[in-house]
Amino acid sequence: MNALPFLVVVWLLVVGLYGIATCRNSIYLVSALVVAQSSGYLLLLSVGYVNKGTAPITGDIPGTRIMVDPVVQALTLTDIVVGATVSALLLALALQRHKRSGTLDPKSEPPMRG
Amino acid sequence: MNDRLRNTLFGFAAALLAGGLVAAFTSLPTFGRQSGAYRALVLESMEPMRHAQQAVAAVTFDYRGFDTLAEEFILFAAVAGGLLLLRRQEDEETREPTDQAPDRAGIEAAPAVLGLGVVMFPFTLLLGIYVVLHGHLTPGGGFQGGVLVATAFYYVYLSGEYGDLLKIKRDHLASHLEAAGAMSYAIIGAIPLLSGYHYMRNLFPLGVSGELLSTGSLPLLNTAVGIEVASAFVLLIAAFLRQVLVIRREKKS
Repeated sequence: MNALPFLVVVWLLVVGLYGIATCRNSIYLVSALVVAQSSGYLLLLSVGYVNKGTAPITGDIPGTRIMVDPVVQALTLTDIVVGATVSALLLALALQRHKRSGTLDPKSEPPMRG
Repeated sequence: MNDRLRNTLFGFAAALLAGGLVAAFTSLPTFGRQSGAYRALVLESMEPMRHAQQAVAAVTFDYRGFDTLAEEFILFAAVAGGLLLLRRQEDEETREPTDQAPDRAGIEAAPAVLGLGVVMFPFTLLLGIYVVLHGHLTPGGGFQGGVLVATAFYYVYLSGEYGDLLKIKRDHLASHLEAAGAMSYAIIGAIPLLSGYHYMRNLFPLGVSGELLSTGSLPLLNTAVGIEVASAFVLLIAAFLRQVLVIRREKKS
């Protein structure tokens, strides 16, 4: 059971990469990228977890409780928001490409214009 | 490269990668028994040194404040790139949104949907502002609260009043706020340089632990990030909406 979080991390990463390698639609490609990215969040949070740990907030929680690692949580939270805007950028790219070439297939020839 | 060759190649590479990752993860400490050096260091030092009670915010905006500056500018650059791509291109024209099916009756938003938007908008806005301002005390902060504030404007869209969002374009207040949020993070970090300290040093009064104005620069940085994230997401939805409703390909006649 202890290896389960790490196995899920590997599974999410490989499934996301499979989606990126085989998809025929740029919008699916962005979704697959988000799946692969989420494996990173899970890895970070599993590395920082401590058995029976609670949220690292000392205000209302008695100081005797064990707390999980706040460093990896900070890394994850900034990346979730930044990742959302990067997805928006990629979707804008897909949209412009569809307007130029009429296709969303990432395997077709990219549109060229002088 | 045909599909079959590509998939076989990917299968091999993925199996290799997965095997390597599993091998690497087995030499990690057992799940739940980790004792990273920084965990203890941050949890012990944040209250005496920074009067901070929320370790995640303390790490994001104080211990790792300089990294967050970089991450904030990744967000800024991604939004700038997205808005650049969603501009009107030279072979397109902008037109007022028109009814595409004038023979049918217009689809009016149901009163319940409209009412829900009217109810949810102020409460979501308030919750977002609360989460931004209390980011250093309770779970939350500029990044999460900023998204919540932007969600309030998504309710405007969902309740059918998207005409209001179309007014957000170049030189709208939101674009100025986004740039101001990004810049003020960099400027707040630069203030200690004037007194000869290093960049991002927390020089502001630390206050009483657990109060709204405490932990020095944390609330200021949270607010700067909150303003930037909120206006970034509002600008993005407005840009995608303009793309769908206003920008049309010019007829080649």
